[in-house]
This record gives sequence, structure tokens and C-alpha cells, in this order.
Amino acid sequence: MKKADVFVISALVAICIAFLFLFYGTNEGTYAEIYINNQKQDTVFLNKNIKKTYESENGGKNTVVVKNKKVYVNFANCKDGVCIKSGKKHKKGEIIVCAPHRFLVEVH
Amino acid sequence: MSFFKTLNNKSGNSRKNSNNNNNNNNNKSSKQKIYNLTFYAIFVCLSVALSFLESLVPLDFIAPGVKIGLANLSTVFLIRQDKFLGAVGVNATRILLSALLFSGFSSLPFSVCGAILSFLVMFLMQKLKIFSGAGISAAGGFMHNLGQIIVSLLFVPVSVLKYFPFLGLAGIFTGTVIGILTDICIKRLKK
Ligand SMILES: [Zn+2]
Repeated sequence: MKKADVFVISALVAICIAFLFLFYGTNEGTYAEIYINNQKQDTVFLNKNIKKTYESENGGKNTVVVKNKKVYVNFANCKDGVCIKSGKKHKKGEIIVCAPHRFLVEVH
Repeated sequence: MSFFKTLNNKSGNSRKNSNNNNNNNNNKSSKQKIYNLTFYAIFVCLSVALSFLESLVPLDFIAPGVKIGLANLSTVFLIRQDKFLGAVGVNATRILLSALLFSGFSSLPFSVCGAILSFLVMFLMQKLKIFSGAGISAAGGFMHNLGQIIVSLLFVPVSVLKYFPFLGLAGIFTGTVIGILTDICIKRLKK
């Protein structure tokens, strides 16, 4: 490894860490927005426990649950189930994505 | 490894011969063609295999097509030997083949954008001649993931940007490892 390499690598790492602080330096979220196909469908507040099912165009279903100031997907009929496995989210900027349904929950 | 070595030596010899010896020119250049065919076929195989290995690590929850960047190895290897055209060819073939075989065409725009960005950066850095494999490959891995995020912005909300730091760091890490390994390989092959 040359000096120039060390410089480039540390500069890139620094950029990543700066963005890490920018995105994750914030604290608890207060509400979550639900998007389907890039369009905002709904806003749910994290201080109110609810359970709601959202349907996307191709018959996809995702059930969003808010409990104990955390939001998660507890049921989905997608193939991969990644949205369910993503678990509970409560920090600002955290997202739950269901790629097959183009479904997204974002905490604000 | 020794197979590569013989291939490399043969190519070196046949190149010299074809320059000096016009009588056997046709014969030699066809030998060179066969050498190139074999050489790049091996790289395509290697990179498709690595692509497959990569596809076993699912990162699709971030954005479709996101990879850890292992398949970059063959590109870095060729760029480090100034085989730029070969690098482009192998990478294009690799992306098409892996789309056909396992990753599907939906991830094609992501792979292509990542590959183009990463190639341009690595090409320029190699041309500057002040970097070794580690730096070039780390920047390549970083740009590869950056390119994928940029394309994904067209399909999903801006919030995918939140994954940028992790993807960036992952790209830098695999890139650095691949770069160091590539330089070791090239050194050994030249002996
Ligand atoms: Zn899902």
C-alpha cells in the first residue's frame, strides 16, 4: 500500500462516517410515513398503538403495527418476507422496505 | 496459478515473435487470439462465479441489486494490468450472464450504473500511477455502491440514502481486501 492509497481510503471512510452521523445522530422518531409505489399513503403516530393493513396494486398486503412507540410489519404476503424480518423501528430515518410490494415505512 | 503463468509467458513470447517474425505472422496472431479468448473466458467464469457467491448475500432490502462487491475482483485484476478494454468486456459479459443466470434483469440498471462509475474511477486512478491496488479497488468498491444508490433513487424514496454510509463502508472494505489480494496475485504471476 502506498501513501496515496491510505489517503484515498481514509478520505472515503471519513465521508461515510460523516454521513453516518448526519443520518443517525438524531434520536427517537415521532411518526411514521407509509409509502406505496413511491406515493405517500398514510401517516401513523408512534405514541398510539394501531394495526393497519395496506394493499398494493398487485394484491400485495402488508400489516403495519405500532406498539410501544415502535413500528413494524407483522404480516406480509410477499415472497421474501424481508419487511417482517426487518423488525421494529423507532429511530428517525429508519425504514422498512418491502421491495416486491414497493411498500415502504419511514420513521420521522 | 501455474496455468496462468504459462499463458502469460506464452502470450509474451508470441507477441514478441509476431513483431519480429513476419513469416509466421498469421500463425502467431491466431495463437494470440486463442490466448486472449482463453484468458478472458477464465476471467468471465471467475467473475460470474463470484457474482453468484455475492447473490447468496441478500442485501435487496436496501435497494434492488445492491451487492457487496466481490465480483469487482476480475475488473480490478485487469485494470491493474492496464487491460482496460478487457476489463470492460469481462464486466459487461459478467453482468449480462449473471442477470440471465440468477440475478434477473430487474437489477440490471443498478449493476450497470455501479459498474460504469466504478470503472471510470479505477481507470483514472490507474492512469495517475500514484495508487496501488488497495486504493484503486477501495475507490472502485465505494463508487460501485454509490452508483447503485444513485439509480435506486429513481425507484424508491430518498430514504435509501440512509443506507449509504454502510454500503460505502462495505464497498471500501471489500475493495481494499480485493485490491491487496490482486496486487499479491499479480506479483506472484510475474515471477
Ligand atoms: Zn415484504
